[in-house]
Amino acid sequence: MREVSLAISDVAQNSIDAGAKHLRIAVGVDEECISFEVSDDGQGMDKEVLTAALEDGKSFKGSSGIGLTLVKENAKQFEISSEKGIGTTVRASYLRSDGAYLGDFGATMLTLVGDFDTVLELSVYGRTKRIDTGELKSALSVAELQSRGVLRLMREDINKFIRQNGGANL
Amino acid sequence: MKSIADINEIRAKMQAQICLRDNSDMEKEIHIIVGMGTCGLNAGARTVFNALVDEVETKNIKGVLVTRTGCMGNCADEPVVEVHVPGKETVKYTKVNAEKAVEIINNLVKA
Repeated sequence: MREVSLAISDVAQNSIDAGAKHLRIAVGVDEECISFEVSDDGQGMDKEVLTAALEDGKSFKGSSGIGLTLVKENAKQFEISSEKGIGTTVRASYLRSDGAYLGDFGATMLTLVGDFDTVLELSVYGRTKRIDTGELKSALSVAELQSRGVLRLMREDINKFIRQNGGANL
Repeated sequence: MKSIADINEIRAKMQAQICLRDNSDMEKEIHIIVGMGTCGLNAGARTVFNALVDEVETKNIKGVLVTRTGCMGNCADEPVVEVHVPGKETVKYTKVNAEKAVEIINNLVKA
């Protein structure tokens, strides 16, 4: 997955599948790297499960078991830590010289407003943006945020921020 | 719209209307579920999710909720979309793209 936004979406789905109610997503972009960290308060994994989770084709939820393998595939650095009953944190960093690009992160964030809260901390060349979907949900239901176009505005807002600070090819 | 502050402003304007929401609407809510496991994502599920939400907004349909789920076990048929209309049988759409997403919403309006 060279589009880092898709890798983030993949990792976030693991958090959702693990029953997380809070996701924290930090994304950082500079000249060389695109990095992200996804941490959750899902059910977490003990050492044995964590080791197996990193094996290609191994799954504990009836899926293909290739997700983390793909996320790791092009990463320059990859770290995962997890504690049973506490949650999981995944960190990955990609070299832009390897062809990694952030892509349509706005579209990824639109899909991460659900019955869990997502806090996004986005940093592009030192310029930062923070979005807490819990704040949006405090006023409107998710269905209303969708149908009234609030999430479309959020998507456009994020992508505009990325293009303005990181350029068209980020 | 330039920033989240603008979104917050819209939200404030909408706040007055929220009180008018009838809680019984929740029971009538149509639920659209998009499979967004690894296979779904790589087949274009994110585009489908966004297209569904955009079409619900464009057509100004109320009482529809689009959510994501993990692998639905039909990896070869991804992106997979399930439509749950209360009181009706669940409909599963396979190999959905942005155009099909528009059709799915059209079918809801017709129903």
